[in-house]
Amino acid sequence: MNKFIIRRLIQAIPTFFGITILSYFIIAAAPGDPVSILTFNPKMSMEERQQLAARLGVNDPIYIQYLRWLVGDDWMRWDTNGDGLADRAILIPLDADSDGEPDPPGERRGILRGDFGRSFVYRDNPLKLIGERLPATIELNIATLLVSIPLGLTIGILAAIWRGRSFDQSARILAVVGDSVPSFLMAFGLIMIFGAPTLNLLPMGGQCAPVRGGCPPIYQRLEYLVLPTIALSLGGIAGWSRFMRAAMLDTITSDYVRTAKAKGLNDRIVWFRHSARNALIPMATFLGPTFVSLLGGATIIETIFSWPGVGRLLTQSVTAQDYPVIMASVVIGSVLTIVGFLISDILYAVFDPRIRL
Amino acid sequence: MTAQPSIAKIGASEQEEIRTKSLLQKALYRVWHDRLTMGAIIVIGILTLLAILAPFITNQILQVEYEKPNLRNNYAPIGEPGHILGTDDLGRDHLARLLYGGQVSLGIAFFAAILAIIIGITVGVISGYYGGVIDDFVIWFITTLDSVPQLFLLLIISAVLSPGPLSLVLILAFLGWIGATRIVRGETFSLRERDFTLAARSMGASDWRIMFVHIVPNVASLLIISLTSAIGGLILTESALSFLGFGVKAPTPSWGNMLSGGIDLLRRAPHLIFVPGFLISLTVFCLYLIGDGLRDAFDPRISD
Repeated sequence: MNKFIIRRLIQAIPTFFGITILSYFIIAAAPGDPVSILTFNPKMSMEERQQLAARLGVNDPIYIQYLRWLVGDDWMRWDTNGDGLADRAILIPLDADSDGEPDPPGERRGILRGDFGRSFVYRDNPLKLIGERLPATIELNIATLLVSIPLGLTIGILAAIWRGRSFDQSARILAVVGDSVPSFLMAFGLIMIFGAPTLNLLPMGGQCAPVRGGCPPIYQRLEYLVLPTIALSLGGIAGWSRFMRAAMLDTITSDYVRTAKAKGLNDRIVWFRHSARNALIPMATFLGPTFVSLLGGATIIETIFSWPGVGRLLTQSVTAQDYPVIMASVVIGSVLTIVGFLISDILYAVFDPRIRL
Repeated sequence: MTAQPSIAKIGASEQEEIRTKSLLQKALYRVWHDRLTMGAIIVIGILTLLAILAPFITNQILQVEYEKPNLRNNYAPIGEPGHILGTDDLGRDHLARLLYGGQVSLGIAFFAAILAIIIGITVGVISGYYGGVIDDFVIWFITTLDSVPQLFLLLIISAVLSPGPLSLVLILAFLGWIGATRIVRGETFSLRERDFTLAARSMGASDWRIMFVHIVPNVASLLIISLTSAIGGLILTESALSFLGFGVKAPTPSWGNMLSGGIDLLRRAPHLIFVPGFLISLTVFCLYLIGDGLRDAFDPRISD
């Protein structure tokens, strides 16, 4: 078992580096000049601008720039005698802006050491910005999982038991509908129904009523969770019920279920003790993908319901071309995804010993 | 394969005769007799036709200009004379914009799916056929792409490129080929060990010929199924992206960006949200139904 976990962990390493390469090179293709975004100083002369750009490493080859982003440049150009000017350098020139004097030592620590630079918009550490918004996203995702998994599994089990009957048929059609209706349309429908001025039952957006000093504990503002959770859950219910139905049908026709029935056990015990339990095992593999699609889906739902989560931060940052925050969100989102896949694989292996081979 | 009899002929033939037909002929027979799937195919056909004929319908039948704003007549309700589905926030004819939006949304999804499948076949068959380092690299790349939440990746790419409809096709295809690759790669692994591959090789066929003439046709049915679902998924992705403002940019209409007015639009004229939304849902719904129907039709385990 430990061997399996270690092997999966090692497999995650190249994936992580793949993600950093992919996202760095996409962003590197972006138009725009980092210096003008960073300094926003129109008085700066062309020469000063070029020097600053050179000092920031714009002229270095792209793989050096990637390396600098990944592991920082404080080891590429450093100061040994404490005069504030660098006197040693590897990989990058000592005097990148070619003004005859050595440049100041590198200050970036790289994303592997948690340095994603500074947000252009908030002038703050992107990790801090994400950290502030992550609880809201997790809150919404957990609420969604708590609604969609039990509901989806129950529907799937019942549909398999009543295979071909009207419940099964309507569950299947509803599942396809749940897959076909975009989540934003679902959100608008909910707003339309519950937001009618006469009804005014539920809040239409936000995480809590605007108050000073943050939101109260979650149990005092559950009504704010209702609509975004419903909008985000429907797709999940569709997916889980379909997957559970298929798994349940597999076990229902298997030999041990036939044996249990032949022993004379009543149907209910066979369905829920023998079939459903074993059908639950492959569900573990579905956890990872669910997590990924939730992160994506939450981006849209958070934007519509002004939910102060990571997804909304990402769309706002993309609009503002706030690259450090975009990169940090993508890397953090991907790490969460890798962890999600890892957990679901490990759970699967725990439940089903055949997988560990 | 011998010459295929027409669908009508199969439909008329006896049940006995069906048993000797090829898998494709059986599948076509089953689809032809599956009302739900045929209904979905007809709906998609009509929507596609309407989208293709958009210029003709707009100019000749509706006699409106779909691009021209008219602020004095905005938010016209459904049934307004001259504007069957009313007008939008800028006073443009809603129906005409829906038709052109269909052209954009369906077109992007269709071409992106085709391109994705072509990339998927090529990468999948090469990776499965050669195995080894090539396969390791492909698997690494697929795992990497799969580990980034897709919408995140789409958002950063479109942030960088600010795409038009054409580059959106390329972007969606770049992200959409993974499913097809998985299918083709898995099948290729088993097909390359079969006798017919050995026979082809012993007759001196090149690797290229074995891959694309002997192996690919054997996965065609799986690809047709995944193509329909892929188009559906891509319509959803494009609409989400355009809705967020990072896909097709105004004034070019797409079903997704017609909804991007959001809550303001919802308060003043809900039909401006729900009609394009309904069209997106209907299209994707039908495509998924077709996918399901084809999956059953091509399933060799199901006998007539």
